[in-house]
Amino acid sequence: MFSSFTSPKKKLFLSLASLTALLLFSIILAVSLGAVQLDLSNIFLFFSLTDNERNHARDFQVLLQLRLPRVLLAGMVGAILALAGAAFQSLFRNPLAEPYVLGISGGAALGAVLLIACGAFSLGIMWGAFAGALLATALILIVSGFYQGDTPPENVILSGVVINAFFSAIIVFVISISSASQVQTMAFWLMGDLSFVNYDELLSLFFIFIICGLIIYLQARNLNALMLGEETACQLGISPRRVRTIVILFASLSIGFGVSLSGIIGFVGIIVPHIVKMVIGYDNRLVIPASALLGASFLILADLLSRILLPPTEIPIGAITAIIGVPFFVFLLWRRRRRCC
Amino acid sequence: MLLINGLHCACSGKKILFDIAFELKPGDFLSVIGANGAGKTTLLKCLAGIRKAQKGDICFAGVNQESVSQRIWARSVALLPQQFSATQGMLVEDLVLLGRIPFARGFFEGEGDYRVVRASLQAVGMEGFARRFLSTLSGGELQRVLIAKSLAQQPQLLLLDEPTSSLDIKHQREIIGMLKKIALQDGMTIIAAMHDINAAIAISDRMLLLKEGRMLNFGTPQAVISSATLEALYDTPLAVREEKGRLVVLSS
Repeated sequence: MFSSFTSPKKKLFLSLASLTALLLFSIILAVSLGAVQLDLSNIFLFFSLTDNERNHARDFQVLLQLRLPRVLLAGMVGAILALAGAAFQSLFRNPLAEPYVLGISGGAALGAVLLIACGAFSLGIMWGAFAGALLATALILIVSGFYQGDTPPENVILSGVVINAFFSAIIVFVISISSASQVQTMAFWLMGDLSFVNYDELLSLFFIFIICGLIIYLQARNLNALMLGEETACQLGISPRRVRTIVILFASLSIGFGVSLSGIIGFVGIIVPHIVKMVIGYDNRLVIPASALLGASFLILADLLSRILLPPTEIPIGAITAIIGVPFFVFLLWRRRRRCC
Repeated sequence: MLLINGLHCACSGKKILFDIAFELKPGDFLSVIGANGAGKTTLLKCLAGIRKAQKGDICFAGVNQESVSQRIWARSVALLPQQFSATQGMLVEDLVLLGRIPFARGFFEGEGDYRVVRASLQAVGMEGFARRFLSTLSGGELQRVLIAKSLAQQPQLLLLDEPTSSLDIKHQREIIGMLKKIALQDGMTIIAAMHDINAAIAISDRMLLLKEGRMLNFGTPQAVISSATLEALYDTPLAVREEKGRLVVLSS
């Protein structure tokens, strides 16, 4: 008896509906909890207040000026990192590929740190982070020989690790010759911090995320074919070079801008797409949007943990994601080794 | 009809194929044999359109490869490469569906695509395996699924690069029998690079002997297989016997 096919459209609808519900739940939880507990039922009443009354409502101020921007930033950065991780894993045919492991986040941080040392401000730093992310990706491709055809997937990861180490060394060098105030700003890039963001920056990031995310998503089917190898994809009428260029360029753009606001946050791009794949399979038309939604929830909840675990101290969010991510990374390596044997 | 005329191909500046010319009728099964590095895989890649010829023409069903996009060419020509790199967590149906990419009109497949995928899986005897993970398949089952993926392209010309090289003798026989059946049933032209000369003789209507990128011989197995030609092809003595009306090659 022939088993029935499950339509990707139906799977997409079901997964997006449930993950959107999870995201909404995460947002509500994250804006409610913290040093000051907010009663959201009261928050909704604030919309009926006048502007003057709102200015004096403490909960509303906490919500609008502290919690909401932070939660939105966590959501968007989480979505960007997870989406990029999902796309990179198919593109490089390597389950361990993600912006942090590949050194792309590190490249973005290097770009930002260099521009801070040169005295640049907000937008300049954002472009610096983008240029750094792009440079890191270009170096990975050159060192691993990826643009010359079918390259062993391990080469890409090894190149990423080496380039990441190189960037880290330059960052340490720049920090060592910078002033105390610059070092304080730079420290933010290396630990990950979601607490300094304004609504204008969030709006810019939102548009960049939506545009880049959609462009990458439109390559989802081509990425599926690339999972079979470049020659198979090429035979099916897909240009691997074109897909690679589009995905790398727009993923680097979104990672660069995201990292410029959040600093380096690792492992989101590896944990989230793998959880998604375990549940809904390997079709990138489902994996990419589902990873973006789950990545947003994941980082929002990780940030919540960083705020509420040891009050009043805030644990750097990079530490939280690494504590979850490193064992997960080891688990993936172990599972891969078991399959190989 | 497949018509190859004066085909030359180079890779990274090194010439691989020299003046290849032959023609095949619909439903023909051609085996390409030769030593490692003879240019068998390069020839298949040229025919599939993923390696561009330096010189010469490749025409299939009246269409010159140069005159159409790769996507259009892939609607009638499918290649099953020797090496396969799909992720083990993929479902059989997802893999076979990828064969429908050259026909894609929207972002998602239509009911017609699913019908073709079902028929392709049925043709290779894997109709019950659609929801299985690739990691759960044996070597023989995986090879059938990969052939189904190629069949999902609804090709009139199917190119197979050593389709049985990693299989035991039982599965080799099954796959070869299945391919022959498909070629007979659907009138599909099949070209397979093979290392097993006896299997190639048993299955082929025509054989192409390649040596260092040049055609040593082309014709029916009876016409091209002899101790002398095989020795010239492989630079090692091989004996050819006739048993029950069939040629058998023995290592002497």
